[in-house]
Amino acid sequence: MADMLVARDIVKIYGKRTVLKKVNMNIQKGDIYGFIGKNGAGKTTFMRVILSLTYPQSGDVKLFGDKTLQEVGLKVGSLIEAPGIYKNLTGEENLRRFSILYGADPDKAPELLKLVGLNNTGKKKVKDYSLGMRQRLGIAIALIGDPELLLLDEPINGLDPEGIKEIRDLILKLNEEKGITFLISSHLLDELGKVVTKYGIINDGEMLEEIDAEELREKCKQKLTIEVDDLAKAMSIAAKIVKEENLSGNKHIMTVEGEVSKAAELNTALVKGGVAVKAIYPNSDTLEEYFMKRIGE
Amino acid sequence: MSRLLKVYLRNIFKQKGYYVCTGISLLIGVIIPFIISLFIKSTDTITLASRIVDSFKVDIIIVIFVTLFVCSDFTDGTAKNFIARGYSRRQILYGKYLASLIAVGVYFLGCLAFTLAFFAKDGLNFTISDLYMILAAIATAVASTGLYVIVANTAEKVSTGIAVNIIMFSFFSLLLEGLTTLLKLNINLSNYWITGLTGLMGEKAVLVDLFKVIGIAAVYLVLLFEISNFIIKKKEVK
Repeated sequence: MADMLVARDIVKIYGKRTVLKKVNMNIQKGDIYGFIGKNGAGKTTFMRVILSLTYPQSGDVKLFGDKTLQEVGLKVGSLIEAPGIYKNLTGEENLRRFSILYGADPDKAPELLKLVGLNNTGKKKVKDYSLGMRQRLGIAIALIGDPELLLLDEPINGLDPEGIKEIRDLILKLNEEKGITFLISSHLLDELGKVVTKYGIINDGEMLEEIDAEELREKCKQKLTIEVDDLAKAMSIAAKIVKEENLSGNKHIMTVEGEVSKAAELNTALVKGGVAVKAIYPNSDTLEEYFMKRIGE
Repeated sequence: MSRLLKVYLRNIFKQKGYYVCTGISLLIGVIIPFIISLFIKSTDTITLASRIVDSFKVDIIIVIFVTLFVCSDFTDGTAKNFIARGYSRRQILYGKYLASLIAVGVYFLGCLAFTLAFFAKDGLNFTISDLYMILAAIATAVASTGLYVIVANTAEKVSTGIAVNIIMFSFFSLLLEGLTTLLKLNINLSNYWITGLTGLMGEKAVLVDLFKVIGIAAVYLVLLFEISNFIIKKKEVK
């Protein structure tokens, strides 16, 4: 697949604080890339670097193979932090004005408004819009000119549950029908989990991991929970069958990471060793649990 | 660049501030003097008119609408929409400058038309010296508009932009005049400051003076844009 965005060794320093520490990122055509991290982890700064809104101390960003933003700017849509909109204009006027700027057809403005669910706003000025409506308009502006790559920073901020679902469906639709590639940052990990095909986990300015959604699902699956009457005894028996570092326990619950296939063997050994096994079942981490583990919290 | 200019022209000409400033300017510069002239009969209406046209170089009016326009990109947060689609900071600055120049030109023409309509009923007695004076005023306006755009673009905030453009530069002019008096110089230093270049034109304006004004205005413009490009090159866009 073609490279849509390749960032290499991005370093950004504000004063004495290094906000991005040699961050790398690879996004392929068709990806919906979920960029996750705590507040202040460096997500927005990284996206700002890609869009030339701020300059890194070192590192390199290439788009659509080996091009710079200045060469392909019109093919990249974005919504970073609060949407940039003319507050004294209506939603349609905003779209028309930005369409002129981006060399797109201004007459497609009503179509875009409909796409983000703002077709009934009429002559209402943007200054009277709610936070969610402004966010939708920001997404519509990002979609002007049929961009091939969309960067959305917290796109569902301020949206109600219905709005979140609509934007989620829109992202999937644009990805499937128009082949648009996405880079999306969000705190709402479960929501992100419903659309993302690849993840990047950033913590304290460091990219901890880039992982395919499929691979992540596999990783999350491999966990065995065993409810026992004597945890200490169960742990010592289990340690002879599975790796000790994969074992953890709390009260009467023993957890075995990554060795689900040994469930029967463990059950037999525990029963033979005199441990009462009340329940044994495989389960999976949520994205949130995986993320918390990955950042060490 | 043409698309950028098109959007900026729409922004400035659809800005209420532009029309409010022009209206105030017409009121102070044309309508009130016209009413006064009805009571105080002056034989030399052209002199009065040219004095009024001169008063339109009320830098304050230009500063206000130029600063409002230039800073709106930052106050609305729309500047990032330009940069994120590949427009460079330099293109944006030039776009804003060109749009401001056009707006200032329209403002001048509007004011001139109103002045002539009110005061030149008896015909015009236009000399070559008057033409040199107008060209010098245009050269000064081209340079000083550049200064106002650059200051506002660097300040990003309307209040800071207006404060620096009006207070600081007025103070600077006064300071230069003070220095001239203090040092008992034969030349008035404030006439060499970007906003006061028309002062270099003598009572009877001649071509040499006009070239001098145009030359100094051009040097100021080149210097200002070089400095500004250096400042904005790596500037964060909010």
